[in-house]
Amino acid sequence: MNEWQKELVKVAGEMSTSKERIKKRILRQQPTKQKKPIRFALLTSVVTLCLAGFVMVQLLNKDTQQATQMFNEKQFEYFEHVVYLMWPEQGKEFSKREAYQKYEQLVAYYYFAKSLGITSTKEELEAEKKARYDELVMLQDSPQYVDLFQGLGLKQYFKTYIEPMIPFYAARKEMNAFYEKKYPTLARAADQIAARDALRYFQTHFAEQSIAFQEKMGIVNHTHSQGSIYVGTVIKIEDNAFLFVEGAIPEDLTKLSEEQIMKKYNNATWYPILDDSPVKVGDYISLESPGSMSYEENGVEITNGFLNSIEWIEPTVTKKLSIQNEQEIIQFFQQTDWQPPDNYKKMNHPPAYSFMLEGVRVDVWFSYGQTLYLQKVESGTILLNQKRSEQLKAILGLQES
Amino acid sequence: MNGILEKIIDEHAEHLLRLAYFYVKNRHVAEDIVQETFIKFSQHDYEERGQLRAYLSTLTINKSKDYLKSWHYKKLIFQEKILPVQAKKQRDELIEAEERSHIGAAILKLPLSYREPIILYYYEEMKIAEIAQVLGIVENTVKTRLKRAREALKPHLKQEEWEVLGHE
Repeated sequence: MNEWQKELVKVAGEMSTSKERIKKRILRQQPTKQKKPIRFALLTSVVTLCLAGFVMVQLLNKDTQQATQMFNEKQFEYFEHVVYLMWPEQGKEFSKREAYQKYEQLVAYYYFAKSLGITSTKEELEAEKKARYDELVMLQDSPQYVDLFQGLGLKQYFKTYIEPMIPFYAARKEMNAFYEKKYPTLARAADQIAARDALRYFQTHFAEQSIAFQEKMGIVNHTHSQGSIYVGTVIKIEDNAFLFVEGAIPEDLTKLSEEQIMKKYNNATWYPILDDSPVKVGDYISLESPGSMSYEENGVEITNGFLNSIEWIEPTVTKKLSIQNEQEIIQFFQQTDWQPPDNYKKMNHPPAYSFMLEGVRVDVWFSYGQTLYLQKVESGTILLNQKRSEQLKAILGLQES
Repeated sequence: MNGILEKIIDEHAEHLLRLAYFYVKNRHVAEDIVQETFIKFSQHDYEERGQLRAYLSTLTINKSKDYLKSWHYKKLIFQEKILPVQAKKQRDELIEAEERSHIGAAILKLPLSYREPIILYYYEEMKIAEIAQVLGIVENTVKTRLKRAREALKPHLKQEEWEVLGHE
């Protein structure tokens, strides 16, 4: 490794936690195919064919019509123009992708609001229409927008492109107001939580229409980025929001105050409580978050996070092992190529097991796929492969977590 | 596929995470980029000809540059300019980077046009011709940018740090 590489590796810091995180996320997305008995497979094919026929008829009659109503090429064109005007150097493919994301988000508000029974009154629609029109009047002075109007003139342009989307814009406004009330603790992030919830709802219920429209418009990438996985404990609940501390374990709540836990782990984030995943104080969870935002209030930095999903997990509390077969373990470790201790390497949760070997502490974590990650004081760290992990588990008599 | 993919991730993820980080200077974004790289890789037929790392690196570089051009990133930069908390977070990350390596942090502070040739030449160990191909510029321009990047770096480093790098 050259000196430049060494310095660059140092400045990037520890990456094994990130690696494990993305591995978990990627492998979870891979489809797992199970072999079915032939008779079952045959039966499945017959049923599938019947269903396909039925669905096809339904689609032709209803969903195709719904898709065309849901997405409109003219409206998409508007977003495409705007994106292209702002980022001409990025090219058509980029414009289409960005435009679709903006358009889909707007449409999502409308259908999400509808699913919650939130509708706009005639007055609200009129007010939105006026606001949109006034905005366009203001923008028309910009030389860029001369191109945007494409010779249609402001009035005709508004009528063609923007007026049909007024219910969408109004729904966005309603949803933002609704979320500000629903999540007072997360008020500053409420509009972004509303946006994400709307999109999640839309992508769950109208994924086919979304993909069909993207394919029709020649949009290359229709995947949406996932979030990062964090493991920790819920330490407080307030107004539809919960305070989550990454790395904390439920046991901390019995020994430390909220403030002490926050100080100890320096990683507290407020998340919205999802309707289908209610949490309570002391829950040990793994959550997937696509991002967060921070702000300062009375000199304190507060972080509000966005949430995709939650999984409840058993708390990992270190169990001390008393070793009976020390020689066998010493022999096992003779083949271990410990990596040099790295100051930046820090696991974000306590080890599952810990034991003393020749007066030196060895910590054991369960890593992805039930492999073992070890840290031996003064020797370093090692991620054992599957085979070696199984061997050590057998020697130590470990139960899988 | 899962077993093979897992092995490939084990072998290359940390290298790619660092590579993405040198571009975007944000750990979470680097994770997203590398995740997308592996997903894209797993969805395409790749014929192994001993070029896997180079192939994955190219995907990562392209995705990192796409991100730097994206609407989301530009919005973030804008927020950093107007929101003191965002700017503080960015500063904190830089201070942490500085603590890990003063030289590395100085490289990260270089503008992308200088930082990129340094990353590709020293970290990726690409040849000048390969860098020229990746960046779509002529070899002489690559050499000039490398030279200027080193010159831009020099005032930020102490004499002994500069000597550690051996100039080249």
